[in-house]
Amino acid sequence: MIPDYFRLVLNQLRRRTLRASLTVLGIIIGIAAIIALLSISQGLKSSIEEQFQTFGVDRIIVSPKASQTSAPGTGATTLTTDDITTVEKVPDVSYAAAFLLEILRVEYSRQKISTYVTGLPFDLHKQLIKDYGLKFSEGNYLSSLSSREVIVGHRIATDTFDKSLHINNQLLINDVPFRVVGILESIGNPEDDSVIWISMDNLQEITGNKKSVSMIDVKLNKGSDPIQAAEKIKRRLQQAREDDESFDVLTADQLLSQFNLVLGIVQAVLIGIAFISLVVGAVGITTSMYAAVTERIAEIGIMKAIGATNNQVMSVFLLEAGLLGVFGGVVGVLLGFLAGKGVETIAHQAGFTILTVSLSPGTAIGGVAFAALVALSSGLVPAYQASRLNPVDAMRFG
Amino acid sequence: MRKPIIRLENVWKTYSLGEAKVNALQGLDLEIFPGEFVAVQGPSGSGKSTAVNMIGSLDYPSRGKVYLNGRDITSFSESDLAQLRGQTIGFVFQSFNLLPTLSAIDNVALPMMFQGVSRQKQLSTAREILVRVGLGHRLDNRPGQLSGGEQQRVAIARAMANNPEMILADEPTGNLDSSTGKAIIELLKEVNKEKKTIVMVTHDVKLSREADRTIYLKDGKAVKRL
Ligand SMILES: Nc1ncnc2c1ncn2[C@@H]1O[C@H](COP(=O)(O)OP(=O)(O)OP(=O)(O)O)[C@@H](O)[C@H]1O
Ligand SMILES: [Mg+2]
Repeated sequence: MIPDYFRLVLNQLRRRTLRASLTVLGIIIGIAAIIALLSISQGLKSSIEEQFQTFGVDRIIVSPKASQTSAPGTGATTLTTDDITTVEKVPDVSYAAAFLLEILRVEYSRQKISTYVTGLPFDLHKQLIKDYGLKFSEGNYLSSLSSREVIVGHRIATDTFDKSLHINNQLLINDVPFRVVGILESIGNPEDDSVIWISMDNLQEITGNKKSVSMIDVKLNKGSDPIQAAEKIKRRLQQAREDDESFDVLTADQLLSQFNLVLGIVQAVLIGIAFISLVVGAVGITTSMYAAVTERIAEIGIMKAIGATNNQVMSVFLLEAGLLGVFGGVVGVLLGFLAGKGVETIAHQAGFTILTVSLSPGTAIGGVAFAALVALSSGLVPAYQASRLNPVDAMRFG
Repeated sequence: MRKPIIRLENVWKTYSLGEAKVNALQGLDLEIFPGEFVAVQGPSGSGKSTAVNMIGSLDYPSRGKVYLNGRDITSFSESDLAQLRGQTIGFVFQSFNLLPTLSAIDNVALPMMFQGVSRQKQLSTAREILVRVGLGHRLDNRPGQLSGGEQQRVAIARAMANNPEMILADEPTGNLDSSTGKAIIELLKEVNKEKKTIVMVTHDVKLSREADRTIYLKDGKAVKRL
């Protein structure tokens, strides 16, 4: 019985390919847009989470309050070397590493760029590199506090200058010569792959800025509760800074959820847009289902004359709408996924090699089901009206 | 006395076109008995098609009663009527009215599909009937690939699909040349020999002579003579 209806409807669709394709176009576009956005944001989310995983949950970041500062290195930093001492004294803290970021002139083989140079504490830099899960593709750690040595990220070595950079090459930072001693393996996002690390002492000497700090990265002792530790650090800093609150203390979890919040907003906006295109698709299906019904009024009359009940006529048209929806959904999911993969390729070319667009089976099935649902509900009214036609009047048509 | 398959009792059918009302049928009485071959004649607009629609329970009368095998169909729901119609009555129309996207065999299978017959049985029955009407070599052709006479044969095959008691044909030869038309009438007569009641509207006096009797319609009523 049901296979018969399938055969009947498939036959109709096969003989009316053009109209059928125009009908599904709206659905395809809507679903493709949604799936592309979902797969990209799913990929984005899992790659961010992955980075946080290597970063670790037992870490706390102290930074100047976002609203009160602009980019690091612009002199608006409110953290100082005194704050490090305060943080280090909190019992849960294993170590507190201060970072100073400055925008400086960097020159290699007569090519000049302006970029962030990071100063990190020499005595902690080995520990940090280990804890961040970083590996050297060439060379090794800095050898001493004051020797003019630099560690660079993968992109600085390969993509930034016309000539690729290797260990023992010379980099001029604000005209001071530094020897490249280490090149890091790629992490997957262009920002982290573009680091230029020198010792804090060297950076302070170059810039003359001996007091301020851009950020403090705190590692906690094993087993301590990050939320409680963050509270303690916050209280101590407030006391030490005489009730000044122009800083943020965030656990890795909080950072992640901040990221996810922003991502969620972006996602919601994009899905809203995709949803609108799906509504347009549904309107498209409705109008072309109406067209299909009008086109076939005479056939509906014939079907009823030879014994089709209203429900049987309605089943035929609903099945047609549903099949168009499923077809549009499947094509839309595939196209959307391909579009997502296209974005992934572009992202990889831009250095975001960590972004892997992924589509869970649930989302794919959901996309198809949603398309079918939209098609069915937009086919419902035309199908109902078709089924109510009087066979005699209907057969006069056409 | 034999019981009629169909009895129309003082049937009126009024169409309203805006303000104006047209009485297509005005108190039509008639009976059709099992196994009969009845011709229906009358001038254009006399209500022949409307009468056939009533006989075939395709439409409800505005007034009066229609009995199908003794049961008043005016009290039936549309869907019940469709089921009943599908089982007991087959239609043949002037303009063939086949579904253009379906092959001959699928067109003949369709009425069986709406009765829930299995696909296997649909195909074997459809093939058998199409062979009988002389279209064994045209099973997979669509209507557009068939001549008018062949299309009308497919339509007759479709009308016989559910082994109905009665076949209603409204000017089945109207779109065909006279020799093709004659062959169609011969086919209907053969079907009639299998104890199927046939009601056929025709303008052609010669063709109506092939019937057992003729019902004459004028102004929506049955009359003795035209
Ligand atoms: N759906 C309708 N709406 C309005 N008027 C109708 C309708 N169907 C039939 N009529 C009118 O009812 C009358 C009878 O029509 P019917 O089709 O039964 O005539 P007929 O005898 O079959 O004519 P013909 O020989 O031309 O086919 C005509 O005047 C026709 O215009
Ligand atoms: Mg007529």
